Amino acid sequence: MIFWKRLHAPDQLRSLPDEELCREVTKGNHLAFLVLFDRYWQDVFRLAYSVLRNKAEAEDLVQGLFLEVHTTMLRYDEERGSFRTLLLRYAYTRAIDQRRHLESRRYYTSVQIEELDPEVLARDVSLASGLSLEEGTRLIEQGLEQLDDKQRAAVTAYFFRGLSVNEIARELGESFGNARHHLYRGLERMRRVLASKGETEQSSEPEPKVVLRLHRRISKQVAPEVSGVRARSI
Amino acid sequence: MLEHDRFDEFASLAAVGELSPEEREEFLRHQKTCAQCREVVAETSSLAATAFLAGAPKEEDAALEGERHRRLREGIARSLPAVVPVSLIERYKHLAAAGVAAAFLLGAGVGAAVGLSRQPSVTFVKTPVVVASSAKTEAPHSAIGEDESARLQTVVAELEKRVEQTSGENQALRDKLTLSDQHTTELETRLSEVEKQSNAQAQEVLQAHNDLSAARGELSQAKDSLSASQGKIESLQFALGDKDARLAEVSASVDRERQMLSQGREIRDIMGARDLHIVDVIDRDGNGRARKAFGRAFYTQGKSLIFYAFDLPAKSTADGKFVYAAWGSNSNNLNSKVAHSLGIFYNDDQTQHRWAMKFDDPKLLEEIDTVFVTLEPADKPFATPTGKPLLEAYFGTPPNHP
Repeated sequence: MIFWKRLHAPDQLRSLPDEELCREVTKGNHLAFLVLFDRYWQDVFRLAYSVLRNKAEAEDLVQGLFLEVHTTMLRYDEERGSFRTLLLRYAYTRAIDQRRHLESRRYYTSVQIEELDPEVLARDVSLASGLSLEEGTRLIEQGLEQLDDKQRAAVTAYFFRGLSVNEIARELGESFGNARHHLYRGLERMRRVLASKGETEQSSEPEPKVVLRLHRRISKQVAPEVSGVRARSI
Repeated sequence: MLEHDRFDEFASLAAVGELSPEEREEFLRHQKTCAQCREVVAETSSLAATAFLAGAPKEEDAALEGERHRRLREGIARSLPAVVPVSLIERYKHLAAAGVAAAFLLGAGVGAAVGLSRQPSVTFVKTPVVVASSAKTEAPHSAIGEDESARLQTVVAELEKRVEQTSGENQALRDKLTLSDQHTTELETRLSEVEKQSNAQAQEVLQAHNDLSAARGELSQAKDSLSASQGKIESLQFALGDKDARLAEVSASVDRERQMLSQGREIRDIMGARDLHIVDVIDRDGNGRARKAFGRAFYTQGKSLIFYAFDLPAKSTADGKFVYAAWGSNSNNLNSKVAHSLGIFYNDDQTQHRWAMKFDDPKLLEEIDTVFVTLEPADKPFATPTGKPLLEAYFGTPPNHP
């Protein structure tokens, strides 16, 4: 009796870590799930909106995603990664899938969460998955420093300004294929740099003084964008 | 190696959804057997998610963000009560089973009420109540408290509500099915009619095809017949040409015979005439002086005159510009210049260089006693002689063959 009362008290639930809340959800505690929602909806919405660039689409994705996560809570294995990590991976996969659907205007062929490769989804990638927004931002900034001008222009325009590869190609005055190749090269180099950094600095804490505020950019020009990022990172 | 470099690029781009449909399909096939590419996709996805989050525009209006949070939260909270974690079902399966059984009975009752004899394709008792199960956690069994009982009652009530809702949906589906059946029947009837029409049209087409084939056969035969007829016509025309030529020859022969008969008759008439003058024609030189006779005239007094002239130069009339004309005059007439045209000479026999002229006007023959010949232009009419006399015959003497 005392056990149930305790778990249904919102304040008590809010104080619980994700893993405890997940266990409560599997027992049928809806309030526990709503606490998880309150905790992470904003991250999911921002990620979805950043990919889709459409608030209505992003809201639909948030709602659908949380309901699916609730029904599949059975599969959650805390040993495979944090709830937030998996949630954002789900969200990212869904958002990319939805964007591809919207771009192609084809029938929606999204895979269900259950169909995703559990090995890939559950892998606790030591890059950025488990980091806070600020930590992740700093890590991205460090990766951008390693890119040449065109790679950096392509990556920042793509992730921070929401430009499509076609739009990036027009801004850079290059072909679609070249612009896509710059994006690929940038991603590849950042992945390698950050992977090696993750291995060597796994235990080190990110330095708060270099937190970026990339999401505040409004500029549409690539060059100032790049120079701004570089200036802030020094 | 070079081939896999391409998949390296595909792996990174797949993580951000920038492959074309064809590239994506190709890469997904490859990825199934390539752990390295799966690793790259996972790492790049993680990196991209972090980058997107870092670049996400922040909602500047807190009120709007609060409103969005409230709206989404309410939507999720409304949907959650229908979701029953499996762990609860397992723990209180006797109550859950009762709920499911109630749902089944209620559904069966509704099905019986509508009296449908056929088995519906949609079975409402299988309508899923979304269930999540727990694989790991198994809470220790304890006594069910009042709160827990109330909660389970809520669950059962929810299940009943779902069953009721599902029954309604089932009825709607049955109604739709009935309508669909009616529509299908109508379509089948129309299809049958269309098939009949189609068969009839096919028969007509077949008949028309046969008629056309027969007509083509007839046409072919007619063409053959026409071709044969044309050949026959050509041969007949050729034979007709021959016949015409022969007819012309025969006609010419007949004409010659008639002419000969006629000439023979004339000769007989002349020879048998009582008052016949046979006169040698006197030639005259360029100055009109008489020379050796070069012709002969047979004059039957008051009846006819046949004038034969020999050795008139054919060259003068060869081009058709001049003709030899015969004139009649009376030597007793004081006006010797009065001359009557008797006609022109024709070449009677080229081998003998003989020219002839016939005249049989008795009245005029009574008035003349002299006949002479001149050369006259052929292109204009002549009433009086313009050329000098070339031949001359006089009949003023008594008949020398009475």
